[in-house]
Amino acid sequence: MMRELARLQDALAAVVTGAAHEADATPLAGLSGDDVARYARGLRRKRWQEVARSLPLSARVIVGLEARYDRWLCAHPPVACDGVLPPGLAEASRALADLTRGLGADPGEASWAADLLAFEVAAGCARADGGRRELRARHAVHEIAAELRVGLVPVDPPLAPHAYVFEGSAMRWRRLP
Amino acid sequence: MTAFVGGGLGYRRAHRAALLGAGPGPALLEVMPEHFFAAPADIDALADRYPLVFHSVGLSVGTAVADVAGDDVTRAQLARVRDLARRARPLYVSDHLAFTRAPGGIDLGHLCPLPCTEETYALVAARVRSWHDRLGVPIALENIAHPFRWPGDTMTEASFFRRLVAETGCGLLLDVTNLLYDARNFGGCPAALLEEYPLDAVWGVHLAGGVRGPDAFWIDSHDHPVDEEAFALLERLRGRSPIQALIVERDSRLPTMGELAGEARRAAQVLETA
Repeated sequence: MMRELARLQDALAAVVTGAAHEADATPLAGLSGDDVARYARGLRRKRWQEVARSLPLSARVIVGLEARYDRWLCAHPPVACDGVLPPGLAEASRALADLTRGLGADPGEASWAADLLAFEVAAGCARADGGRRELRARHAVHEIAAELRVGLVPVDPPLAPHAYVFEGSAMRWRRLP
Repeated sequence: MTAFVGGGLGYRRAHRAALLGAGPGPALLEVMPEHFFAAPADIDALADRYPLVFHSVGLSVGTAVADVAGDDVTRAQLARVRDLARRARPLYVSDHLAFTRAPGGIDLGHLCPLPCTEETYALVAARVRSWHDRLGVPIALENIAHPFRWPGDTMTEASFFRRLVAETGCGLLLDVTNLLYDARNFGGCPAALLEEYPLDAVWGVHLAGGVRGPDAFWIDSHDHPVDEEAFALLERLRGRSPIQALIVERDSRLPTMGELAGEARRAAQVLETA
């Protein structure tokens, strides 16, 4: 009972999320490769759109973020888990450590890009679930975010380490030595 | 059975202030329960002001696991949906005839069609009955816009639905735009395709607008006004279906609440015109 259906579902999920090496794709023999490829592209695009909607500033100003996320997603197939966060924020949280590490190591990205991404994820998650998030940043990210919201893009702002606490919609910060 | 309530909107947080403000709103709202899992009390003001229907995207009715209710995520989410339903009293709870999680644990994050076979039918029918018992609210399932067709289907989706509504008592949430795009993408006359579905079990209707992709494939992207051909198809339901809720869906490129409510009113008039 259900063995054939389960085989089909696992095989398709593995193929469209890039985890095909872990599964037997034989059950999909009758499917059009073009259709499956289009579906896979649609899944990736939808995930990115959800992430981008959750991180409007980062998605707008970190030029390589979509491509960076797409590469990361292909290497990290999503695993089903229960939670209360909206899908975009849950996915951004899942990818955050790797994305910020990559942004921080890329001299082509703005020096504050990784801080901004972490700031938006922490603030968004706290707002969504009412929980507490803490962040240590190398820049005054709240000031950078405020400038971005009015259409200004900071150029080489000085290092100004800050500690942030997000609780629900509230944010507190202090300058670190 | 609830009579036709009118034309409503899919609730989006960006419209919350307008929906709860002094001006007129739509006749009802469709809410995604997942939006309220973190803060269930946020639904109260909406439920106080509007009739609600619930529309879930993550219960994954077709995931092939042995537990009759579904996988671990489904069972956890069902408990949350049940709690929300107790406080908001929706007319019905709907999800899609699809799966979003594979039994091995990969999360697709979006709807994937199910092969229409006896094996799938037995699974879905048992699950619908289980969900109804757990939630204590009428269950409806929606036809999706198919990204592809499974080659091993032994029945059409329409005949799957005809059997499902007859044997389980669930409703059909008929997405007219999905049906229209299926006809455009896979061939066939939209009106003839519509007639194959159990129109006497349509409790809810979805309308939306999408885009034609670069490969000429129509995508139900919910980012445009309702497709005019969908309005024309809607006329065929007039007086034939026990529709409670007619919902205009829009996920991005959101216009004002008033504009969307206007689309919903226009659609409701199509159903109500004598």
